[in-house]
Amino acid sequence: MLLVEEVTKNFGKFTALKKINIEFHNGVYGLLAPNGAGKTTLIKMLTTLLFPTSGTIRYEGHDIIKMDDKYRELIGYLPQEFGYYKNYSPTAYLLYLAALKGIDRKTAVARVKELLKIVALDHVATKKMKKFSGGMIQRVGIAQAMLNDPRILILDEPTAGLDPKERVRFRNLLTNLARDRIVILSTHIVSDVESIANEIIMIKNQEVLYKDTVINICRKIDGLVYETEVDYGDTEKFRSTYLTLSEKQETGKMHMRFLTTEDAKPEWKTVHPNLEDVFLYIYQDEVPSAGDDFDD
Amino acid sequence: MRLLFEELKKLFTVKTIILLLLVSIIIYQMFIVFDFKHFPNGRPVLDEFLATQKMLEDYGESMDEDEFEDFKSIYDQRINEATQYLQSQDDMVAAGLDSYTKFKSIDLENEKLAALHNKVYHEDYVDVFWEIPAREDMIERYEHPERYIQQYGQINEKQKARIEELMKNGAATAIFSYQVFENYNTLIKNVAILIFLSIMLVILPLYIGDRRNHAVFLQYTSKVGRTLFTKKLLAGLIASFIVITVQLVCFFFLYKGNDISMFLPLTLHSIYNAFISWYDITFLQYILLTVVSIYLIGLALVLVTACISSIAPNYMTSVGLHVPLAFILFGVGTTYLVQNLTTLYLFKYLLPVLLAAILSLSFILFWWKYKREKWKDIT
Repeated sequence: MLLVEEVTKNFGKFTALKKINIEFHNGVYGLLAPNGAGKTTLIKMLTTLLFPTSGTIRYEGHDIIKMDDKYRELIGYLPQEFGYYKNYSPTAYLLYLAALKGIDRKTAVARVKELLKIVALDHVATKKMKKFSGGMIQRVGIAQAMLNDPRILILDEPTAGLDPKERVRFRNLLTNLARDRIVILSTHIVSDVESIANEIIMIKNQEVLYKDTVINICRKIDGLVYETEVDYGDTEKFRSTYLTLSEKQETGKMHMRFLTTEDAKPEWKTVHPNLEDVFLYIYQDEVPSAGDDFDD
Repeated sequence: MRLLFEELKKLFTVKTIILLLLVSIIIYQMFIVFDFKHFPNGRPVLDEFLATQKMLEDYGESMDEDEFEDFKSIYDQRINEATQYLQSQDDMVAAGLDSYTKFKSIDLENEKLAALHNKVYHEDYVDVFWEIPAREDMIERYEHPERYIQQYGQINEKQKARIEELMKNGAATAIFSYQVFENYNTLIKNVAILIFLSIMLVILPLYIGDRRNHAVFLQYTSKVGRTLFTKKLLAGLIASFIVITVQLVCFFFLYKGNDISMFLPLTLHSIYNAFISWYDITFLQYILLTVVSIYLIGLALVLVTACISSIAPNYMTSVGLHVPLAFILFGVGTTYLVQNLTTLYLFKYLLPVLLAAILSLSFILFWWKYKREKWKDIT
């Protein structure tokens, strides 16, 4: 179990996270918040890149800072931006990272081969990465995070650059992995986590707002989400009156999905809220904060 | 070990090696090759060098009174040879220059005589006429050892005592060549500059590269973690050791061509050398001292350059921060820490004190950076 206890992180006078408490068990956790909310700050504390200003993070009861390399050898991390050497092949690069992770060369060679196959890069295993697309680089990143078969897999915006097919394959991979480990997935793309996360963690105003299952979180706005059709001419007025969640042109009218606490009108059709609706509702008034300077 | 090798591979990229080769070729062409090609540079310097070589062959490491008499007899022979040469030249005889004594006291204001003088020295390059003044100077030095002391001008009591001690211990009769010493000093200064520049080029990307492309996120969250900072330094030190060694091996391979091996076991203290050390050292020991000094300065330079690499936000700033360092190191640094080491002109313990201070300061600077790196937020 990974336990975040009363963790606060300040950057000078700016508070990025305030008294955060989270418990992680095996499974997929979706860390969902808009850019600048403090997701990366939390992730960097979980990976020991940042040190909490106060509070502690414990793994199996031990402070991760004191565990030092014993903790780091348990984690796999894919940062939002990760450095790679353009003139290295994925194999050479992964072998370098395997050396950093303390994996012996023989094991590393076999593991690298296996992982490159998993992320469908085995056909370019010895090609220089300078010609790789963003998606291919991201897959190298995913492979490196899994090199040491980590007990805690922490992924920051892992699907950036992946095409839909790769995203599906990636989600399936995570679901498999999460059976016997903690997988923490930070994203602002709701669809990345909606179908695979056992729990969603939402951060707002530097604090954890929700940590619950997708169903339970969606319940928070149950009965408040509707769909209706609006004439084109009335679209602007509608938008300014209600929180529109999605819009679509259909049969000469605008099909609006929206959220309101007003009593339902006859032409409105009540629909089941999804995680994206909750996200838009929660963060409707969110403006980029000073935290943008530090993370995300 | 594997990690160290990986970090070394990152320092010695093909680009870096090509850059090092280019810089080395340019510096050699501009500043070093000249002192190989033109050693000994000019005449009668060449003749003095050849005469010294002959002295060493004939008399060994020093020249006693009997040997000096022999040296003078060779000088007389050369005078005779010069006279014979003059007598064999009709134009010289016609101008009344039928002996070396007459030729020596020639009136150079007289255009006709000056032309003849020029012909002997600069058209026909008659060796014996160059050799005679070289030998004359050497005889004068032997006969007037007090000039060895006088050349130092204003000196304090300790310096004076040191010179007197050396004179008592054989400096007045010891054989050495100022040209050899000067040539080595000039060469080693330029080679040291090349070495320090090479170290800067190799170490400059040590930390900055991984920090700028965010590889540090993966490195610091791996098992090795922030101890990689010191491992990279170790890779930097090994890389610099390789650079220094390769550069020195290349240099000494070329230097071998100067054919000065016979001077290596000789003491530096001789009336034929204008250098006095606080310590009794041979030329070989002096060379080793410069080599040790280069390695130690190289070590300090790695520590400082590594610090700059870990602090500078980009390559331009890093290069900018290296400019004053290079200015100090290539100028004052090489003058006092590579050239004329342990010279009597300076404080006796200047070299060990300066080296210890530079090494301690650079070590403290790096230690401070390492401590900060250990607890720094990586944003």
